[in-house]
Amino acid sequence: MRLTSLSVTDAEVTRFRTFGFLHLRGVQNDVVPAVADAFEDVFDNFPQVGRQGRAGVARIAERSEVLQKVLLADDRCPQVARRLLGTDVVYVGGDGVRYDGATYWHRDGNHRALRLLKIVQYLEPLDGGTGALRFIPGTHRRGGSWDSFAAEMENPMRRLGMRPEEVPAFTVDSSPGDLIAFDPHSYHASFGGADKRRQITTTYAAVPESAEARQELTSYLLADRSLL
Amino acid sequence: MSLDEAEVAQQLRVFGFARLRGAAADTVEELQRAFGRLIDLPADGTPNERVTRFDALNEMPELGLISGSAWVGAICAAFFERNHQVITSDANALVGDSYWHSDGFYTTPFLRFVLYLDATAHDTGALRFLPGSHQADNGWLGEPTQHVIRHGEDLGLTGGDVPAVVVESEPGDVIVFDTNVLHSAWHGDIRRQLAFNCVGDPVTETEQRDTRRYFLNRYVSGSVSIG
Repeated sequence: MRLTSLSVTDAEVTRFRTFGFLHLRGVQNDVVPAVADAFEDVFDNFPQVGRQGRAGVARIAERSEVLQKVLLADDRCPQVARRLLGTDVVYVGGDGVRYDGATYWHRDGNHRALRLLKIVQYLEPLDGGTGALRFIPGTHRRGGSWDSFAAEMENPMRRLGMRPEEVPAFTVDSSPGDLIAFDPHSYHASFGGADKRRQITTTYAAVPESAEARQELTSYLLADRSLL
Repeated sequence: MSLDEAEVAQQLRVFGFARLRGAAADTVEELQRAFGRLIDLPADGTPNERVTRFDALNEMPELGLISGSAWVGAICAAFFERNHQVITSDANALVGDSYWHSDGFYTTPFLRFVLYLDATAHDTGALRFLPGSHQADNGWLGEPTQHVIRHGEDLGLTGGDVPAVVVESEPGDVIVFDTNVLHSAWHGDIRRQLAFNCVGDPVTETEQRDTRRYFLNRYVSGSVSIG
């Protein structure tokens, strides 16, 4: 399997820093069948964990030679992460998941100093009605009023009179072969999900430059992710 | 209309905008007729550039039925938490794109109630917003806003491709927004728009100064043909 390097333009870096996410269309088009086969192979051969609505295999990229090459080779996702975070990065994990239904509005963790980048790819075409990722642009920035509106985001009906899927957001319609890179501090969700939609993620952390970031990275790495 | 003003006020605080479906549905035909009295569109329906008539409330009592309605009062009371004033109003025949902008990043909040008399959608000039960009502490001020305004050069995106929330509208809907919020409209042909702007009774020196500046700025937009 011959792979080309993944590259990110300066404008794409600015997009990511402005909105908190970046849609890289079609950058994995050449390996879609191989990635799908590898996903199924891992799910056939490794125990799945999870909870209602999701079943997954932790660290899926390390369990498949194909996925290691496609995702973790230095000039693939790590290169994207270095460009977007603007510094050296460390791979801190990832998973493969089959989702049913919705994932409600949330941020991954609440890190103040640690900077993470999550890179997601879906193996099915998705839009707003079938479980595509949606973001509230700009919510990756720390501090600010979004931190005080956590209750509104957790229960939009009680506080805002809106169903979760009515919360105003930008939906990233995606195709197999696309990558979506995002700061997991961004508010994100998906609704109307088709059953068993398949997702692969890899997550990177900026090499910590402060004691607080080092502490948060340690906590992140020690956290129990068996429930995905 | 089913409406909880506290929820609308909270939507305005969190996102900077809210859509009130069908809020003016009962008066939309009167408003359309009144608009025709105020702005005489060319026979083919499309003026060459945007046409604005300020102080529309003075000549359109039909719009006054909206601005003076109990539900507008209730939303303003819930949002401003004090009495409010309607400080400007306008009728617009909008043509083409409205670029990304804020109506000024004021410390004092101002609300703009907008009614489109024509349906607007994603590809026909619907208003679009960047949620939360009205709150100064959300980090939009400075470079992020500059990048949005210079979307082509800085982001490699057309204005319509900036990832934002499109608020489609049918005649009879009302869109209300905090005028600090970054907003725009793209791909639009002619759209008939009525609007009025409100502020909580200004008490502090900052509020009074902001209100004076805001009032004057409504009249000096370089893109407006003052009729």
